[in-house]
Amino acid sequence: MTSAAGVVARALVLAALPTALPTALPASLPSALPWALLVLAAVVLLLVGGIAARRAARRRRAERVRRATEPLRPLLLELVAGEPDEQADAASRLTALAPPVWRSVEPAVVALLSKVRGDSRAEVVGLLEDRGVLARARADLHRRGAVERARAAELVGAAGDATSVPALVELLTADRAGEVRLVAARALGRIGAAEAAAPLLSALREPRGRGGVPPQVLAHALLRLGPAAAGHLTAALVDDSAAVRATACEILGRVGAVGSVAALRERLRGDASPEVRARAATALGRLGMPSALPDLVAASAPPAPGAVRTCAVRALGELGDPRAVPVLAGLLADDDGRVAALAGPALVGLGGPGRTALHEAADPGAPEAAAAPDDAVDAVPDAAAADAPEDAAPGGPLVRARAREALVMAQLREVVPAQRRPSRARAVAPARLVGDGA
Amino acid sequence: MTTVLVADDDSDIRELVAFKLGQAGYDVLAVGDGAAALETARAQEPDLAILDLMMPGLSGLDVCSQLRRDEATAALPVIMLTAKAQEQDVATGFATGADDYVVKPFSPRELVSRVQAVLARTAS
Repeated sequence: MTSAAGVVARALVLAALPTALPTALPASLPSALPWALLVLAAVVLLLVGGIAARRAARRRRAERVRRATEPLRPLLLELVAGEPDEQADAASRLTALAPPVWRSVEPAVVALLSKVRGDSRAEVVGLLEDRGVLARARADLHRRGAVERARAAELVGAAGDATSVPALVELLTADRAGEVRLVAARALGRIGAAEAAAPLLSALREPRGRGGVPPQVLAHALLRLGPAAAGHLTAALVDDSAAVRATACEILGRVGAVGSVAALRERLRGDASPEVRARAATALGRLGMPSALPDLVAASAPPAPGAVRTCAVRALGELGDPRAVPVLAGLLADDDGRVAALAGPALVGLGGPGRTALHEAADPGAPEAAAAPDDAVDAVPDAAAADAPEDAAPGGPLVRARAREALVMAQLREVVPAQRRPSRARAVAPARLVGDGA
Repeated sequence: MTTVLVADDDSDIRELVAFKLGQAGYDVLAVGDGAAALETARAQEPDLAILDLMMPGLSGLDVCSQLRRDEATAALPVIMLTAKAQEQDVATGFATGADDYVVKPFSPRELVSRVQAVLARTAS
């Protein structure tokens, strides 16, 4: 309201200007100028007044809707969070609402779709189906107006309407409006149908600047498809587009697709794109399959590019296989500072054997230091360490400092959570819980 | 009666959680921002707190770490209720001291089960 008043005040000042201008302006200026300014000021005033009136009308409408829906709130809550019999009763009462009352409560019902899942969402979807809202949205996916198509796509996506997948795929691949394609991608992700994986991956090939959907939206949608899309994603690892291959690597790692390990190892070993190799290394670390160890060890050493090496070192830490200890211990002395800095935390990630190696590197000969596991993988980066400057050579001050830093950081991470719970004295008695909360 | 503090800036979620927990027999204190959550936790001493991660002003993470620093509230069980579902987000939630992590959109019925489980776990 205050800002609207400010705008009106500024417009009034503008409107007053033309009366002062004729005396201030040189006589050579055309005499129509003051009139033009006057008309401009009047137009501005009208616009400001129109905006203010529209806002006020919107506020009044929102208030009217609120008043109309307020008595129905308990019914909505019972629909989504009640016991099964309450849910059924609420659904039948909401289905029977007169059309004008339903129109005012419909936005509140639709809003609940994105907030609940499971049975609660199923109840909301059932109600929207019964009231014909979803049928209308399915039809609206083919409307002429882009806003109507986008709104419909948003609704069928929020409702998880699997029957809309073909229409949404068509919107994603062929709609002339970029915004509609973006909403369609998001909706396909929310529905979670595996058949959406191929069109979502294809959309990654399109250049962003020509109405293409942003890659992060497509990647997020693919992620939401979950392991069901693993087959499509694994097939995409040999796509012509590096962007598609890199995204497929990333998603496979995140959805825990352990069946794709062999294909990911192949990408890590020989993909032409360092980005794809780096993502493959990260994915293999996330998947945690020991069979990836030799490829990750090889990728952690030169001549692999720096980005691939750093991802491989992190992945070795996540893999948790103690056979990587001597490799990572050797990398503490690596020429590449980023690789060397990550080797310490990766050793911490390997648990006891990794920490022992760090103690050994931090303080050679100390009692904590012990021999590495017998079946350790050959220390691939030894050659790199041999060429390192004296400070960064094994046993040098830089390596000792890196090892100490990793140990201190690990201790800090352990100490802080341990200190955050000084006492459980206020914990609730079990009898009270059973009696009150069950 | 077991009291649960619910802090979420989304009134629909607040109302929904309060309704479901009330139905399950809990006494609910519902607030709309982090500062109010902190104040209520200190003043009313609830038995458990459900915190939205992203609230205006103090976030759920901020509230959780402040609760953990204060001796009076350090043992208060906390469940994070949030739309941020990436593994890093979940890890951050637990590192800050949360006892459980529920991702939005959520199932009201499952949330009640989680509340019961966390209360039972922290009581033992």
